[in-house]
Amino acid sequence: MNEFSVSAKPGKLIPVLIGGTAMVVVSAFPIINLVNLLCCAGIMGAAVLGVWFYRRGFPAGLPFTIGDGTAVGALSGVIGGAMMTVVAVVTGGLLSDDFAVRLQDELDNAFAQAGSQTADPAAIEATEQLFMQIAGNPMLLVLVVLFTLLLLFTAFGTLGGLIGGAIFKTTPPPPGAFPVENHHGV
Amino acid sequence: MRWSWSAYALLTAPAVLWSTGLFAASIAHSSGWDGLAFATRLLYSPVCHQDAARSFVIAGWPMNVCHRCSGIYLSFTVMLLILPWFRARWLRHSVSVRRLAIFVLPLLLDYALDVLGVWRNSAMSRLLSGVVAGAGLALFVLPAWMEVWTSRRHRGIHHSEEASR
Repeated sequence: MNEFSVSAKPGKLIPVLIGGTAMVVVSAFPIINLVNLLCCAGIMGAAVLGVWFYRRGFPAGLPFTIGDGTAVGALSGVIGGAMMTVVAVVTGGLLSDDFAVRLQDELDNAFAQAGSQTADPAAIEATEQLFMQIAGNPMLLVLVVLFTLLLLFTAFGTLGGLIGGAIFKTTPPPPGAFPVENHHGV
Repeated sequence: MRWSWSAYALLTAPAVLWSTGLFAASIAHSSGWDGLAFATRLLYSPVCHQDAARSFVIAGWPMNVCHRCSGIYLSFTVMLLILPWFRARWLRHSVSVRRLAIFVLPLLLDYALDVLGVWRNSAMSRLLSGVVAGAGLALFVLPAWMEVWTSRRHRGIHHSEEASR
């Protein structure tokens, strides 16, 4: 094992939590969440923030790779997606009794706006039944939301981590190079 | 730059799937599958405002994302698909962050100048600025992604060699 072993790297927990929390803040608050309308720029930015925190804690002389950044970005996405699901459940009232009623209204509006008169009425009815079945089963609904958010947050978090890793990466010292002393003479 | 086809597939397959999904709502609507169209619009709603007036219309129905996002996603995917054929020349070194910023600049200018009232952007300007940004992102992301995967594999080989000694 060389001196740059994996175990020498600092823990990812705090940077990942910072990245994940930033993703939720950027996605949950009105007005701020508009930044996500540009290809999830907010989620990618939050992942870069997590990578920056991780890079700050890196020991001097230890090379920081794009892979380190990508890992922090992806994990931030997983944590952010899970946290955002909790936020969606609480603020969106996904588990409340009237959610199914509200969803029905929204579906009616959506189908009306889409001009469903051109579509097969039987297909519309079947689709509405499927959505209502999901809305009527709170656990299934939460799972669908969790899956969707995990997918989006992890994908764009990984992309943000990749960009962050490329921004903050440091080149490893050439093989056989003597370790450089830091200011403390260690 | 070292190359890994499995890493390439891992990046490109989701990109192709995502880009194909951009057309899903239009195709599903025109085929009478309003439910599927609604579901795909929901999936893409967190990443785009989906303003029908600012989206391309296919078969009479707006796409799942706007002109700008369509440009970004489609050019990103197309670049991913064509880059392997040019990798010897173009991808020897990854695009720097500064160069990436240059690719994103037209998009930011197109948006900012419109907001400030200096320039009135159009469907074409939104699309083209998105295309440039998406292409730059692909030039940046693909080499970085390859570096992640090939250095990981290289480190694994290095470790197994050390363990066998």
